[in-house]
Amino acid sequence: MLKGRIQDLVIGVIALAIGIVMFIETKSFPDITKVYCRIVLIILIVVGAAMILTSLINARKPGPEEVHVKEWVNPLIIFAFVLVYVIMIDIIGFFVSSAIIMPVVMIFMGYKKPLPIILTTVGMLGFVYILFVTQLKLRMPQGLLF
Amino acid sequence: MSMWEGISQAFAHLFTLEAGLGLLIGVVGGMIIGALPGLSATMGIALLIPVTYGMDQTAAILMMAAIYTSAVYGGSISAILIHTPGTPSSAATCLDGYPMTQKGEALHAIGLSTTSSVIGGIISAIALLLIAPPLARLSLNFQAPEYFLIAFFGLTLIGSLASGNMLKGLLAGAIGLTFGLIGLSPEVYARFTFGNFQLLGGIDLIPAMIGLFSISQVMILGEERGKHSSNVKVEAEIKGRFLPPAKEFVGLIPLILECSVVGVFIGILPGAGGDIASWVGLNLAKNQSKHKELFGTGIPEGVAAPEAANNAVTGGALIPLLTLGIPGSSTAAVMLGGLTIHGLNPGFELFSKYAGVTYAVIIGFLVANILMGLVGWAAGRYLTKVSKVPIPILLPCIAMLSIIGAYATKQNMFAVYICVIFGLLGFVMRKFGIPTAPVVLALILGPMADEQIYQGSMQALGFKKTFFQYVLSRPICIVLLGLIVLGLFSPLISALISKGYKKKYGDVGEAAEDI
Amino acid sequence: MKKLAVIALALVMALGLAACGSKKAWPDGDITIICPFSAGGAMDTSARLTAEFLAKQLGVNVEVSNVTGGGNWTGYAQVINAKGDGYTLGFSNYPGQVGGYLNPNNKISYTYKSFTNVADIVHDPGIIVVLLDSPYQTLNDLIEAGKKEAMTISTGGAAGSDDDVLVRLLNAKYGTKFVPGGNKDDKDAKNALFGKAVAAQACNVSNYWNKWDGTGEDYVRVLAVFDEKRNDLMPTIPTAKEQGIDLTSSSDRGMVAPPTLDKDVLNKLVDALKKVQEDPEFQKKAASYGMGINMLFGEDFEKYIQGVEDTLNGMKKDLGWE
Repeated sequence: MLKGRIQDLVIGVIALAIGIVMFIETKSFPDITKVYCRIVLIILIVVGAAMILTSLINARKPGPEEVHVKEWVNPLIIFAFVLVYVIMIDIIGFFVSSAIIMPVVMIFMGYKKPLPIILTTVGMLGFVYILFVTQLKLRMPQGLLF
Repeated sequence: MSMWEGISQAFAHLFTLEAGLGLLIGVVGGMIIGALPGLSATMGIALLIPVTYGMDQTAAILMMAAIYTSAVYGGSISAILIHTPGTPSSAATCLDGYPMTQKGEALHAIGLSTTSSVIGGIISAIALLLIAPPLARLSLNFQAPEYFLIAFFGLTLIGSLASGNMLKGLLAGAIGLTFGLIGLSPEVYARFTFGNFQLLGGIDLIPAMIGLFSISQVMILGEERGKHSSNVKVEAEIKGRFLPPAKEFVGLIPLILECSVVGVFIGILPGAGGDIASWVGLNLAKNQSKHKELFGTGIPEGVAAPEAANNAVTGGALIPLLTLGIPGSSTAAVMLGGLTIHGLNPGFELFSKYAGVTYAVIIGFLVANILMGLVGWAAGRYLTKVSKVPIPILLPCIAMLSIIGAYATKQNMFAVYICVIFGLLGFVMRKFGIPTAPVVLALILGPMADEQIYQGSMQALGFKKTFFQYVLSRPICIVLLGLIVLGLFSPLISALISKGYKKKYGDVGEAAEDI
Repeated sequence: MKKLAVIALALVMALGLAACGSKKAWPDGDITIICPFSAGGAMDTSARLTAEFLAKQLGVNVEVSNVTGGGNWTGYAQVINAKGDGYTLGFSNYPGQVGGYLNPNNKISYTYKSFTNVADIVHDPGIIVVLLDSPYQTLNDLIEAGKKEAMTISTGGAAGSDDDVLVRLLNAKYGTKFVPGGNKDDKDAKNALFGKAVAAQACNVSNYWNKWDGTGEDYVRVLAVFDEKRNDLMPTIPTAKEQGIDLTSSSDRGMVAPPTLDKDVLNKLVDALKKVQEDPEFQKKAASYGMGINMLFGEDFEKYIQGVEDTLNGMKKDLGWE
């Protein structure tokens, strides 16, 4: 029972903490700016405090769905892929990075047939090239390579 | 020159090959641009302005207007099929559109979106045609105090958007408001930028939105790893027809019309655009619904309302643009540049000296909305096939398009990093049951409220009043304040009323409500 | 000894000739102008106008790339860090750029000297307008009223924009109590004026160049042009100086380039721009957008920017930038 409520507690604490830290930052702001910032941060702090309170008050009652962190492994790996993808784009350019990452992710996700993988990658990159580079004249991130 | 003279002149400009081509390319191109995550109508028109250089005036402006309405509609397609808003105006459509796809009702959802968008667009075109000048004059009465209250009103909607845990909804709103603090303040003071000039502009809405909705979705799809081998396709069978069943449609008409009118009105206001309108529409639908708790599970109202509202904004935004040269939305602002380049200076002259071209564009805009519906109807069945693509193939494609979308708005990689970070944030939020929609709404409305308080204060000084005195001295503000109070207390009031009924009639009252 | 020297000289000359021959003359490919402002706005339109006619002179494609964000500095930083081979240029506005780095809070380490300042192109003098039914018939009417009580004048930007600075300069020099409106942009400022939320609007000639000489519903009364001489697009409007108010103000837009820009390329670029200025087609089109063209090159340009910097430095306290 308690486990579910711990989430709310954690979130509440984080919100409260961030709110307070930022509030202290606003001390150095000029007068007009202070007002709006403080209003927003007070809302954040109050909501954070409210979450802490409700989690404590309702500690005995059944909580929200438990968060199974084990489920998070694959999504987080995907996130890592995305991050690496973006960094690669910055360094070696969009088209090369996409040509590498897209098939890798497809295979990671368990797809094994080579033909659809290749066709999709080539097709998508072709579509992007025609639409964005040729027609809309968008400068794609170049990096070192294409 | 009377309106009828203008209209008769319009046909000469409209029935040319160039105008027709501009119309067609605008509608189809607009839909594609809108459907691609991150490429909004604003961007599409901006990128296409140079392409219109050699074109005839009517054809060029008509194409821009066609792109506008078509892109706003197109955004709903990706919102429905892959939970990725194609434009900021379609974020609200994700909430019920995607669940419908998950239930196998993708075609039904697209059909609803198409119908609502077309109706919304047509109503705004009629407003543009018949009552543009008086509406434009009305919009001038909305200044900083009114905009502040509108932003405030929008923020109070956050409570109702969080179906279920209101506290978590408020948290999401608070998160959005806090992110909105980053960047240059209205009085040009850099807040929370940590010395990094990249943050001077604040957190850009589109990359953040793409991150919160799309990248988080990509991560969630990652959970399906290994569950689908290459031989197995996505389970859900595509049920339903494109056109909504007659009974359902008739039931939706009042809502669609209401949202359209609201949309036109929001469009006229230079400070508000399609993104705000879609949330207001959704909120209207929720308030008037007898089964509020079904929102978010995939019900027709959840798609029809925002889509009618956001397309109605398009024609509305053109009203102050053409009459006063004050664009009614950020997309219209780009069109202002387009008009100037083609030698058409906005103002009441457009309706007298250039009446032929202007009315041609307006009528063409009306036709564009109808054409858009036809294209959507023709393409609908094929589009839904996207939902059948195996997830391992779909996932990297969504990621790639999202990243291009985040890049394209600013043409710098920082925006893409913001997108990715918000993707992680969105994923964590969704896993903890915190809704992401309020974050987007707060990112739009927070800075708007901030701006308007500042400008309102400056204006108030000129009237020798404090900000609050200034607000209270304006009649429209009083009306808005009344609406806000009503909105805040209506759940309370309706709860009290239903309790009263129960007391008097016992449980029979409740059963009667379900009929 | 002599023979060796002659051979050495010949070798050096041959190498020199070879080097010249192998370097392809600029421009030999597409040029990109980075515009840190979004498409459709005044800056973007100016950049595209320049690009179109520069392309005509140079015979290559000149594209405009809108790199927005970071308070315009993302785009500026891209220009500063680009290669000086002449294929990446930039567009900037003044006093906007200067205000950006003078504001200590923005923590921007660049200054106008971080660029190669190629040419000032568009010169858009400041004006103050009121509605046709306003009680103020002349600039002095407005100023006299402003001395007595606070009045809000809408501006096309907050602290540091040229409109905002003009209002503050009036206060500083003539003791008026004008409140700068702090609006987000020109369209916002226009909305405030027509909605009667402010007494007047400080803006530029290009905003109303075709809406001052008549009585239409969206026309205004121009009280003064803040320039050295009268403006071609508003010939019957007196300058502020003529009315006894000694102030000038303008919004300028010009071309910048990476600091490492090759000297030869710079000279060719300047020559091309000079020809653009003389092109009657260019002049016609600029006039149709209400843009005044007054190109300043090299040192003249930098002198102008330094002047802008000095003015803003003098107002640091008022702007809140101490």
